[in-house]
Amino acid sequence: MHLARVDLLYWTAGFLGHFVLFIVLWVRRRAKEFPVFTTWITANLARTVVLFIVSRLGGRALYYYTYWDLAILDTLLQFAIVYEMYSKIFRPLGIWAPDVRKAFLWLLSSSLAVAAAFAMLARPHTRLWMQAAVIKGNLFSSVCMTELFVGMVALSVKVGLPWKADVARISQGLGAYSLFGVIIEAGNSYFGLDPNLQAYQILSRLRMTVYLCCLAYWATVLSKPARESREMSLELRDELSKLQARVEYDLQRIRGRR
Amino acid sequence: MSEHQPLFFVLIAVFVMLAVAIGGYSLHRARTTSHTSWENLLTRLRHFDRSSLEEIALDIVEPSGDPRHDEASALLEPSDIWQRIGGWQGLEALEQNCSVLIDLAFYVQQWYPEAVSVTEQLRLSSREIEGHIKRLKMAEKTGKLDAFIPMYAQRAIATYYLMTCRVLSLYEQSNMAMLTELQRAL
Repeated sequence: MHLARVDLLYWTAGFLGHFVLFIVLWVRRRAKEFPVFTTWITANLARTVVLFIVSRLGGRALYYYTYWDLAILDTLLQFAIVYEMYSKIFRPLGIWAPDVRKAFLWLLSSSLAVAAAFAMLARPHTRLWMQAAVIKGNLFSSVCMTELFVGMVALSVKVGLPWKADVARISQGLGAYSLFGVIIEAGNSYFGLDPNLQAYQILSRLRMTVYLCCLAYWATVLSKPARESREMSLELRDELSKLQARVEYDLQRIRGRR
Repeated sequence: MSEHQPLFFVLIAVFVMLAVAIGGYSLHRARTTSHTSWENLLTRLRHFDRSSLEEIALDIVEPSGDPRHDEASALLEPSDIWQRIGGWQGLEALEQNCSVLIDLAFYVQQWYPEAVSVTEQLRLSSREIEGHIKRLKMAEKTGKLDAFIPMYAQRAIATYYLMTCRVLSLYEQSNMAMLTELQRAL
């Protein structure tokens, strides 16, 4: 398969970006804290290598199937990251905060409904039904992800759940990328897929540029050393556990009082 | 472009603008609360006369947090409670301070992750206070504010008072250098 010089440039930049971020995640010990995000970056690093090899050694059909199989994996992992970020914010004590469960159901169902409505409204001009399905599918996942990220920030602010700095950084990057994805897919729906795929290629490069910016942002902010936790003395641990029991007790007492 | 496309693009534009507006506003608020400096946290605290707070709270709870059931408890008149807390303005300030108390606990949590349980309990207390104030507003609309002051306003104040005690205790136990400053601000 022939690749234009600019595509090779994007390929190289993508590989380097993922590689640097992968190293940063392990060296700064963020991999353990964000296993799904790290898996996603690792999968994307592997995808860059696999697709490059397939483009050189395999035919068009093999490249096509490999590309879309890996794209599905990529989308699934992005949704898994949303779950990871939600659980970091909304499960401070290991269980979902009791006052946000209803809001979650509402957020999830409305996000799916709005994303499905947009996917149905889109009418991209394509030769094959499958191409239209791919554009609609991408639009669906971008709209859904954007809603889930915006909903996550809005809900956490409303219920007063504080954010850890790294969770905020990863979420901001992915949220911005998803929002940009909505614009790109709307563009794909408008221009459709002409026989020489010119508009599609330009929009894909635009998406790749935004993604590379996100990679650079993550690599920069996550490379800063995390705040060192102070070793808690046994005495302090004991006091803290008493304090927690005390706070729980206060709540029950005051609730019970008439 | 099919006939559906203009509507589709208008909806996409509205969606993007809403996402940017809601996301941007919420992110800004999240940043000003979770990732702010100690000085900013203190400046966000609205000052209360601690002795008034204490008097209202200790009318229904012991300093330990246990409820009082003795004859000398719950003696304060609704008008007295209302005046001491500063009416609606005072209650709104108290509600605002609740989010600062959560951020103060979160500040300690940056160094002592185990403090997360205290932060979460304070957040739930704060939600409870929000609920009490909401019910008071409803009571005012129906002209029954006075009857509900001991039930909701006093309970909100007692919860807030205990929250401040827990935050001070957390700072004291964690040997945070800012304890004196915090005591002064609260």
